[in-house]
Amino acid sequence: MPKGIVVAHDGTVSSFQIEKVERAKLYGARRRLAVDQKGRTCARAALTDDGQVLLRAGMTAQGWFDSDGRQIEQKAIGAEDADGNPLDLVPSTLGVEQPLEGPIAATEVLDLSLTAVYRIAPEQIDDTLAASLAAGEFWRFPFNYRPDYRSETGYLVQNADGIFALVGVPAPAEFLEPQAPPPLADDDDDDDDLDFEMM
Amino acid sequence: MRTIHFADANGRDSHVSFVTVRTPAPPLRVAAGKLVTMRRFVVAGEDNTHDALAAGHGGDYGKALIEGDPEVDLELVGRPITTTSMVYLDGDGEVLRFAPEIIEAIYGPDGGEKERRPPQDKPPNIDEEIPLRFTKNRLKRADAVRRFAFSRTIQLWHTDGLTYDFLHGLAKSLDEADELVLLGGGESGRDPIVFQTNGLPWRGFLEGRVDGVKYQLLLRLSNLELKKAGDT
Repeated sequence: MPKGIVVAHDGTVSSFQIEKVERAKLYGARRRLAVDQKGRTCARAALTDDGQVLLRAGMTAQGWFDSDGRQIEQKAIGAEDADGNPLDLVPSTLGVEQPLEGPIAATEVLDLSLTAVYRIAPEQIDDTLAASLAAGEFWRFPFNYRPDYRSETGYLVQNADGIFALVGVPAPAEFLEPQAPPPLADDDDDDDDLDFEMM
Repeated sequence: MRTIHFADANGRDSHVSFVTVRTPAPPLRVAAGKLVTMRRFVVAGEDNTHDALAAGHGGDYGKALIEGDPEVDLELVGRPITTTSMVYLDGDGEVLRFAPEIIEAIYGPDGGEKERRPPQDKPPNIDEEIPLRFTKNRLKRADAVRRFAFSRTIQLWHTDGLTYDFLHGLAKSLDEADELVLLGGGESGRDPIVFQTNGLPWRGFLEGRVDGVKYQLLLRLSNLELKKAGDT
């Protein structure tokens, strides 16, 4: 059985299996496709700027390079914070007991910059936690799906459809004063999925 | 600076600036004290892909790999990829010399294709003559957290004293009520929010917080409900 979320509060452990919630699995999806004269779906490829090399699927990869253009092996790469201090690799939390804190205010959950949503099925759940979630309260725990230099934060939330883990990075907005300077220019990402009347 | 045109419950409207609330930047990656960056590079030429090797040496081309290096093109491998142009390949894998037809494919929740149709352009509606408007849908903050996954946040930003009064007042009333209000677009006032042509439609809930004279007026955007698959 795959590893899931394991949390503990006041010495009592709860564990959950996880299943990612994906928009396409709830509402379907829309894609724009290019088709040739025979109605067959076209594949995309890239042509180098000198026109010499056609890069088809499977011909490229990504790697780490230093400023001299030398490729660096993954195991030689570390990380540092904005002040230049080295950071430790944070291991995956899956299957590893994590401290659970709460109840947490809804405003804190709203300030999460979301990276993933999981619907989670209890394998064993502390009665106190179960009652708290059923009463609509939120709980926080450290979460890392895979080892990384930045730890993410998870929140447990329950509604009529089950218990969910909202995972992401806290990103509170700043409070604006009357004399706040104008905001810096903003770049927005485009997206092309379809809404299936989710409301 | 981008602007949004919206009106409150009393029909008072304004064009105000906004920014996306950003996720903190990930840690810098280093090796031996030097910054490193992720780049794309070439790992195989056209004659070295799995398909090409299978076509040239047969499906079980392991022997060819042992006896030689047919999977390596020394001229190409390792070449960094900088600027490229996107091209389409037809059903036979040949470069298309003319513009392809663009169609829209609709897939169901099971991943199966349900329909193909001509693409329908969806215009933005955030800064049009008709403002985004307050709907009657209001949710307590805790209820909103339990129902929706908010994956993007827009912060509304005043540009002068009048817009400060307007936005601070809205933030205060929403904060005191502990509520989020759903904004709707279009003539019906119920359409989802679209930020750019053919962009993703979002349901946007306005949330306010105040700290004395300071305020946050945040448009929480969601395109995902917290529910199990098969319930829609």
